[in-house]
Amino acid sequence: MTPGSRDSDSLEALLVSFAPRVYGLLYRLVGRSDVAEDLMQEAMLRAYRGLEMYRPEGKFRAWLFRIAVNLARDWIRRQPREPSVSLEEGADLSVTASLGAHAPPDGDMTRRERCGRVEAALGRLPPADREVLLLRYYGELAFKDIARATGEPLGTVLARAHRALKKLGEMIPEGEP
Amino acid sequence: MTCPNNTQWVLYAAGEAPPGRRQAMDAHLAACDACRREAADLEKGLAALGALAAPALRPEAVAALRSRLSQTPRRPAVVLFFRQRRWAVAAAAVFLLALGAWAIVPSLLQAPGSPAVSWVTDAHLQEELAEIAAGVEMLEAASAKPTAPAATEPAEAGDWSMEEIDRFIDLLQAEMDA
Repeated sequence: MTPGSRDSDSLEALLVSFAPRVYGLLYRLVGRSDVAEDLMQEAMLRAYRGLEMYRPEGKFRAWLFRIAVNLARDWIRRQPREPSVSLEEGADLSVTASLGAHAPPDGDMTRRERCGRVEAALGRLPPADREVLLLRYYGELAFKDIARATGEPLGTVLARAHRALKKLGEMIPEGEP
Repeated sequence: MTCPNNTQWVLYAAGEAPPGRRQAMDAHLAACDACRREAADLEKGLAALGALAAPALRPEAVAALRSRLSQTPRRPAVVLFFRQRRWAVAAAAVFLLALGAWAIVPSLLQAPGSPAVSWVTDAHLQEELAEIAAGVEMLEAASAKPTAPAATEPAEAGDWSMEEIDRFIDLLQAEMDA
């Protein structure tokens, strides 16, 4: 089905299939599972109610993630400055380490540790740079779609990605757990 | 080939560079140490990102989402129709406005003494005025009549009840306002 077919059941199924990824993105952006769940539900309801705003020339996924990103931005803006949600450069890693609660639960310590380190490193990136990488990872969006989702020019998105990937590469050296 | 810039290397590392461009960059990499390091750094960053685990969404949250979606009304079809065609509706509105302006502006711009150019002809205007005058006469005649309770003196054909008079006054007032 295409999102434009407006078949409510199919749309519902489509949105539910995106729920884990939208939740994942929101969780990484706001740093709280309860808030991420609420925002995910809100994003889905907005998409459901406002499907007519979706333009078929863009990717449905990019449009949906844009709604989610905007909700996360609004939520973050309303919060008093807290390290867990304003993870500017130099933020306390012990706070961002709490994100490791969602590392793989399979007992694979190497993988878990690496995941925790990546989460912590992401937490040290400027929020807008982190957003680009998270949209790439959770949304599986091409950079031009990330530009649509964030409302920024493609050049800005690529510059953010460049800076963020370089930093991430430096913070997580290859071969380390 | 000069060294590609940073953003081009991001597209290259992410596999989004167009095929022709990619081939050229591959060839460049073979001969440029600085660019090889640049591409390797970005690939390291992407590989690190790949180690991220997706946080698990609670099944209860998914069930709650399903339930909320099923209870959420969609917009009525007529709203969808107009929203989807909002540009066409806006264009139609602009066209009508332009048509109105085309009809009105020439009469406003005409030189004093020149013949009136209007859709409202003199004959039409006189007709309107005669109608209003007749209405006023009827209103005066009605108000000059001795008043009596409607219940004891049923209205004859041609007589106006107070409600009718009120309605007429309202209509007249609206016409005059217009």
